[in-house]
Amino acid sequence: MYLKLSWRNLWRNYRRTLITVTSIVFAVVLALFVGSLNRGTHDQMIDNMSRFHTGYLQVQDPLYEDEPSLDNTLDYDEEVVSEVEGAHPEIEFIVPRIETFMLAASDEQTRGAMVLGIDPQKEQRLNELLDRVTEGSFFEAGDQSVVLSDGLAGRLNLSVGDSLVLLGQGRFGMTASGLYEIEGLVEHPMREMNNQIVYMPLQEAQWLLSAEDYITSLLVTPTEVRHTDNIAASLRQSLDDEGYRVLTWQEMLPDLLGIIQLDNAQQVLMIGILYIVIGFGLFGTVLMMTLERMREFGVLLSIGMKRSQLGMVMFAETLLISALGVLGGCLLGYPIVYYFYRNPIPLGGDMADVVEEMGMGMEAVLMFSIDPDIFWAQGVIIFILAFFICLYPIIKISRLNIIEASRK
Amino acid sequence: MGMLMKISWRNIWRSPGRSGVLLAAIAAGLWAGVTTASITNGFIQQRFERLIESEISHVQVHHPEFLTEREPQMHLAEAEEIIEFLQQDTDVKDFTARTLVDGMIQSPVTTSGVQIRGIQPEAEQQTTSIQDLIIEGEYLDTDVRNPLIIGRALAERLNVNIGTRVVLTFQDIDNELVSSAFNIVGLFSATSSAEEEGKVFTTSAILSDYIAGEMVYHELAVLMQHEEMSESMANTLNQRFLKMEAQTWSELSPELRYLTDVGYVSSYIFMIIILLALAFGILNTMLMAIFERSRELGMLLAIGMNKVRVFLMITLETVLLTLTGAVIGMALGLITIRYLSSEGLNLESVGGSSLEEFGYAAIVYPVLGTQSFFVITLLVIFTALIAAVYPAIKALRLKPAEAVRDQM
Repeated sequence: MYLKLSWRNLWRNYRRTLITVTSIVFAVVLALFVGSLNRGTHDQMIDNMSRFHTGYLQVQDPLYEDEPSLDNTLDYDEEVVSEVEGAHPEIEFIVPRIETFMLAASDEQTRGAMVLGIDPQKEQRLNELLDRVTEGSFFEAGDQSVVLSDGLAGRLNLSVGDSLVLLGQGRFGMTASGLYEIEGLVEHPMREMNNQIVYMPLQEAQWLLSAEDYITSLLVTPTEVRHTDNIAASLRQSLDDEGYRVLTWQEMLPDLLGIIQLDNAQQVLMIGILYIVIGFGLFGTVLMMTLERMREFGVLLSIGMKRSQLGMVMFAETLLISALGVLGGCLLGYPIVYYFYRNPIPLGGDMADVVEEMGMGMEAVLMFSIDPDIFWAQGVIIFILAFFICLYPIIKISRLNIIEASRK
Repeated sequence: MGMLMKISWRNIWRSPGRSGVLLAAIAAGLWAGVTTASITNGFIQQRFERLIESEISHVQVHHPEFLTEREPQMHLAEAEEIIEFLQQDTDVKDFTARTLVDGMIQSPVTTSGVQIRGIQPEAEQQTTSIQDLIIEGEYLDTDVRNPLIIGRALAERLNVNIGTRVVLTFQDIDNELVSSAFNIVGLFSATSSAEEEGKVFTTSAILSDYIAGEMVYHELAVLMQHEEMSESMANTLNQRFLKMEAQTWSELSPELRYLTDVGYVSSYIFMIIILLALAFGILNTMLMAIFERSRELGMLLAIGMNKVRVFLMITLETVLLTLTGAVIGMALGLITIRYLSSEGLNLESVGGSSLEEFGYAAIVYPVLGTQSFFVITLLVIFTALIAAVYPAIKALRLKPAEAVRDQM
């Protein structure tokens, strides 16, 4: 009955209800907007860094992270592949890499270079590397040629068709040296990487480094980024600790995690401040509503309704209003956030240049996220906020002076 | 007008509850605006100063092509003249010269690419306080032969420690490869692991000797008395010396420009969101207030007060309320800022638990310029007034007869 009464109360003066509900709706939409922008920006950073740098998850030899030497490598065979791929249903594909540091030289210049032995087709699936060729073409899996990042090629004064000398150390201190034709140049989106990468076919790299059938890391790509932690957990369970170590991007990119933490801490502050402003606005509306209904309450009490009963009716009203507001806010907020998710806000002229120059491979846009988490989190927080504020009339009722109120 | 003013002022205090809430909302809005702006501002400034004073300096001088090509023979031909000039300029606070070369570092375990920085121990300390970053071992002013300082992360990666001997390989100015053993004397920590892994330090005298057999410098870093002097210093240097290029921090570090530009933009976006929340809160509260007062307003209209005056009366009420609220908000904001800027705001308490670990200062000291303080105040007052227009118009549409009769 309380519910019915309060439902009717709501629609008896729909104008008043509407104002209160819109206050909440608006609060939810604003909070969603901020939350979604924050998350979207972070997702973009993680996505970029993971795809072009370390991958979301890596399986390595347990010693490799602390001592990244070719002596600490993984066997790469059917068994490992099927074991890793079968560990979790959300694993989309895996990418093998062998990675080491060597000297790269042309006739005149010598530079340190990061040599990456890769499977071009798999790399393509991870980060569309093959589409970033600026000159020449990309090698096929069995070739004996290399592709240089164009920054490194510039520093060595080399271009497509020239020869590149690689000099370094292979597995167990074996000397590694080779002469390769440059088949193509790619532009790596991260400036720092663009100045030092040499790509070569996995097999050729393994041969050069006396590491046949070995790799330094196996990158695991989840179907959705949010599965990363679950996949890491099941990989850790199914793989033997002695032989394998599973690392997530959080562990491999601590700097990025630091930036995100810092950003989040600031965001908590800012959203907290936003809640205060929202709270005052909402409280104002509710207070006005209560004042306006004083007479009504007084009359109800004087004709014999118990305070507790009236309180229950108001409580139900509060619940309904808060729920309506939060629901409405999510419904209205979703298309707005979704629109910006589809059409990220481009940053203006000068700022676009700055983002470009940073060389982090980021696009100069403000990204939004439509992760359901955000809707839950903001919805629940605002609901609680609204709920507490809407309790005000109940407190008022318990202290109401009937005679004064009904005379008003 | 005088009478209207009086009526409005009395109206405000006739219902302290309603006015109190509006006052509180406006004060909270202004407080929120001022506080968030000062936190963002303080954060950006702190980070900016840290990066300028410990890494980038205000102005850097290089051979015009050094930054893109990074070849050892691109050293500063007029180094001595420039140094002499800098010594005599009173705007210059400190400066230091560096010999830079890219190379490879080899430990018994593994190899890695590094930027080798030959520094002048004393001047470098004056300019970037590098000695403060040393967490273990000694600075370069030791008697050890070929001393080298490397980052903590690199030391872990190479599995070396103080006292270990490592081999550095790099090109000299004739493009010949030079290899030499260096002794690790100290370890430094930095804000990012890229920094810790990518840079090693020795003295410029030793490095120059290997590269050229005489003193050569590739970089001059200049710290000015004030940031504003950077631009003119760079211009003077560029006009005066021909075989070099002087650049300010904003040209040198896109990251720093990103920090300042994007930082301020996001604080504007957030400010807009707060103002929206504030406007909506006020709008709804005023609307509710008009409904509650419809009887009173109807009475005023019925006894012959004309609509313009009613409109003016309501607007005046809002103006007075807003101004009072603004004063309170400003006072609160100033107190908060003063308190926070002396005590510092610890981000660790809002989820940034391991910020220190990532090399960020976890404590922010908010700062706010007088100018932005007044801009924000004006914005808040303006927003409050805009938000009051619609309810006031609504009041004009009241039909006196109905309004007076309206009991609820």
